[in-house]
Parts: sequence; structure tokens; C-alpha cells
Amino acid sequence: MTDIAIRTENLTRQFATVRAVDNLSIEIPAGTIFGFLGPNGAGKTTTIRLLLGLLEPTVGSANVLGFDTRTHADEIRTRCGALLEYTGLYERLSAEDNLDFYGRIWHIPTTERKARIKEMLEHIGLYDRRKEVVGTWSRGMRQKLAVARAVFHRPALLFVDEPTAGLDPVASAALRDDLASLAEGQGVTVFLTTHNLVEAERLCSQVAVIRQGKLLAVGHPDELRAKSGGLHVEVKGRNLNGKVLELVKLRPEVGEAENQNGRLMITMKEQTEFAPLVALMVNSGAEIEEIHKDTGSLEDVFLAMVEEEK
Amino acid sequence: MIGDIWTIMRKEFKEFLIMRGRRVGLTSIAVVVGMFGLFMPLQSGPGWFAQPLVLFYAYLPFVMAMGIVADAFAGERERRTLENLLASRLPDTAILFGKIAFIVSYSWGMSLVSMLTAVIALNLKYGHATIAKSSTMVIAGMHMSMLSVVVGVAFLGLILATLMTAIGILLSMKASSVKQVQQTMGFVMMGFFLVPTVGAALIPHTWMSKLFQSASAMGVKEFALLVAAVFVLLDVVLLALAIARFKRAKLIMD
Repeated sequence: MTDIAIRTENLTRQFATVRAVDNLSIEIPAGTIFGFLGPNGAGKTTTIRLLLGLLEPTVGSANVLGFDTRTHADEIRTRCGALLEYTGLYERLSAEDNLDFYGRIWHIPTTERKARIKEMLEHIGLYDRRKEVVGTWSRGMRQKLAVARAVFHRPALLFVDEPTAGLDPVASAALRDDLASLAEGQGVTVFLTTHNLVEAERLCSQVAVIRQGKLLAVGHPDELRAKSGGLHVEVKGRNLNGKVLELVKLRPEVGEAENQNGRLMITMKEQTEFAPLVALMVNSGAEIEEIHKDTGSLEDVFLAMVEEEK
Repeated sequence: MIGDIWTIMRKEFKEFLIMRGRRVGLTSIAVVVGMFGLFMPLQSGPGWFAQPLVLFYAYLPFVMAMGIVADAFAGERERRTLENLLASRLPDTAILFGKIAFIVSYSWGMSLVSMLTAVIALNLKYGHATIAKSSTMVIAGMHMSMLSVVVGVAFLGLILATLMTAIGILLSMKASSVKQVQQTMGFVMMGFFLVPTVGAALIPHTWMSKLFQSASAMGVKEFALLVAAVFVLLDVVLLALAIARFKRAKLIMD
């Protein structure tokens, strides 16, 4: 296997009036979790379809696990697992039958298939309900089963589209742990699309932001946060009144400042020293109890990027 | 490849059987076999296989296929399972032929089981000698034994089941819902009956006479073989069209 799991070069897909993916060039190292972020209609699902060889690119190329998507789509699909926009479960069949069907598709021998079904269903806590028809299950239970189905055949590359949607916090955390251990323990590459930026921040070693098919940024979450420039500071205390706020706003290093429920929320223009501002506030009569400094969250970066491109 | 086709067939059968509940599914099978394998033949008597009504065994797969084929792709699309299936390692031909094989084998199988049940039931009630004597069909002077009738009807049933399945699959691949396929199938079926009827009325009298003369000169056996050959050709063309139209990119529709 190559060190690069996915490589796209100017990947473009044009539909009748819409360019769903526009000159996308990315490289995803094997064994990592890659977050693909973007608002609805950004081109995330189309990108997954292109990478799985379900759609042909209009221009450009994509290489997945060493195979060209145009010429070796079958080879790619053999080595990949996918949990797409919908769970894709056969709701008239039982949980066991669903996994058995996909196990047969991947030619897993009977004994191994049965053991794997037991292992997977026990892992997600649904083994006792294996005979139940999936259509009667809650969305969260179906989502868990769909994830189990996607990794059932131990793929080298996993595409997951909004995997924690509909899961409760405990199940979401368990799934995140599973995805992390897949990448770290088994070297599986995970291509994750999500709206949950906290999730992306926790899981992904690399994220890309896409809007209207165009790649806006790609890199480690920390790198992207650094690109947002300013330091975000939250100041708690007493006497953080209008006079203090006005003085703070007058300082050249301050980008934005506002009072939120008695707390001052300050965004610095650059990663400058904050101590002079503390002195200024104290000298103006403020009694500071707590200061919390942070670079912008991935969500801030994401929103800023998406807004900039509008 | 055969294994992959079998995997799809197996899944389709399981889904179909429990679609309305396992008990209801099995009951509906029992009703068809009971009706056409026991009730009608036993009511008719030992000469059942010499009656024109026996052709119903050939028509039965056609009707049964029509009832389930719409679900093949449109149903999967409607239930949002198609894209995940297409994202699997299964080759195009395995998915396509798995679905075709299920519909043909189910609809044709029901006809075969009904016919076989009728043969056994009549033999048990009247004895083999009586059945063999009463079931000789005479068409235009040509004597056909019960075995010939059964084989001929079974073959015709297979051709018609394949024909309906191929038409339905082609429609199902394009449609966004099962209902849409069923509606279109209604028009197709109307065409099936209207085209020969209207065509016969429009063809000049002299041409029709010549056609009948040619058919009479040909002999019943040859004429039946010619009709069968036309249907087989139609099946092959439609199946080839289905293979050509099976494109993953086209099957994924939002």
C-alpha cells in the first residue's frame, strides 16, 4: 500500500448547471483521519462518490489506495467501506441478516462471518436484538449498525458521512473512540465528513474546508486555527463597565471587544501580549478575577472562511 | 460471479418473503399453489392438461414478475439502500443478474411448482393411465402428450417471465419510485395488448390472408417454434439493453 491513501489533482465534477466539485487537489496520508468540512451543498457527498468511482470526474483525476478511480473503481470499492448520507440498511431484514449480507458480498467465510457478526453486534451492544427487524429500531441504533456494517470487512479506507448524526452523546463518544482506534490501531484511513466541528477537531489530524466545490483550506486543525490570526480572550470580574470597554477598544492591538453578560470578550488582531491590556483595565478600576485565552475554535475558523467566500 | 449473483438473490428472496411478514409471505405462496396446483386442476378433471386453460401456467410467471419487478431498483432507491449497495465491491453484472434471477426464478418457480403439484394431484386422484389418455392435446391434427404440454408451457413461461422482468428492470433502473414504475408498466402492458389488436385491424386484408396462409403451411410445431424464437430474441435484446444501461453513475439519483 502507498503512504498516500487519497490523492486528487484538479478533481472537478460538473453537472448540468452546477459545478459540484471544482479543482479539488488534496493528499491524504494513509492511516489518518481526514475531516472534510463544508456547509450543505458544498460538494462533500459528490467528492465521496467520485472517490468511490461511483461518478466519473469531468476534469482531473483521483487516485485512491493506489488505484485510479476512472479505471480501477472495482478495486477501490473492494478495499473501502462506506457509510454514506443514509444508513443504507435493509429495514425489512434483521440486524444479523444485514451484516450477513454484506459479509457475503465481501466473501467472508461462513465461520468467520458468524464470529464477526457476534463480535460487531456485541461491541455496539445490540447482540441480544440481532433477530429484530431493523426498521423497528431507533435512528441511533440503526446508525450504530450502519457503522458496524461499513467496517465489517475490515476496509483499508473508510468513508463516513456524518457518522454521529442521530447518536446520543455516549454513543457519539464511543464511535469517535472506535474511529480513532481504527486509524491508530489498525492503520485504517478515515475520510470523515461532518458538520460537527468539535468532533473534527478531536478526531482529525488533517481537515479540509470546502465551499461550493472549492477547497478553501487544508491542514491540521491547529494550523487552521492559527490562520484565523487573533487571540480570543474572555475576561471575568467586576467593574467591567462601558468605560473600561471603550478604553480597551481604543487600543490598536484590539480587533473586537464586547461586553457579554458582564464579561469582556476581546479578539486581538495578532498573537500579541495581553498583559498591557490587563494593566489598563486594572488602572481603570476593573477587578479582574479570571482571564481565559484561546485561539479561535475550528468552528470560528470555519465560519470565517465560509463567510469570506460569500 | 455466480456466488455474487446468489448473494443478491438470497437477499432479495429474504426481503420479499418478510416484506408483508413471513407468515403472510408463505401464505400467499400457498394460496397461488393451492389455486393453480390443486383447486383448478381437480375441478377440471383428468383432462386438465389437454385444455387451453393450461396456458395460464405460462401466463402466471408473466403476471407474477410484473407484481414484483418494480421494486428491483426503484424500491432500493426509494428506501435509500441503493447507493450503499452500489458502493460495495459487487460487480455491475452480479447486481443486475442477481435481481433478474430472483424475479424470474420466483415467478417461474411458482408456475413450475403449481404445474408439478397439479400433475401429482391428478395422478393421485385418477391414476397415471387415465391422465395420460385424457391429457393428450390435439392442435390442428397434431397430438401432444401431457409431458410435451408441460415442457412447452414451462418453456413459454420462462420466456414470458424473462420478458416481463427485462422490461420492468429497464423501467425500474430509471424511475425514482416504485409507483412510477408501476404506472409506466400499465402503459407498457396496454401497448402489449393494443399493438397486436390495432395492428391486425390496420393491416390490409390481403396481407393478413397471406400471413395466415404462411402460418398454416408452416405447421403448428414450426409456427410455435417461430413465435418462441421471436420472444427469445426479444428477451435477449432487452437483457442486452439492461446490461448496457446499468451504469452506477446513472443509477445514483438524488
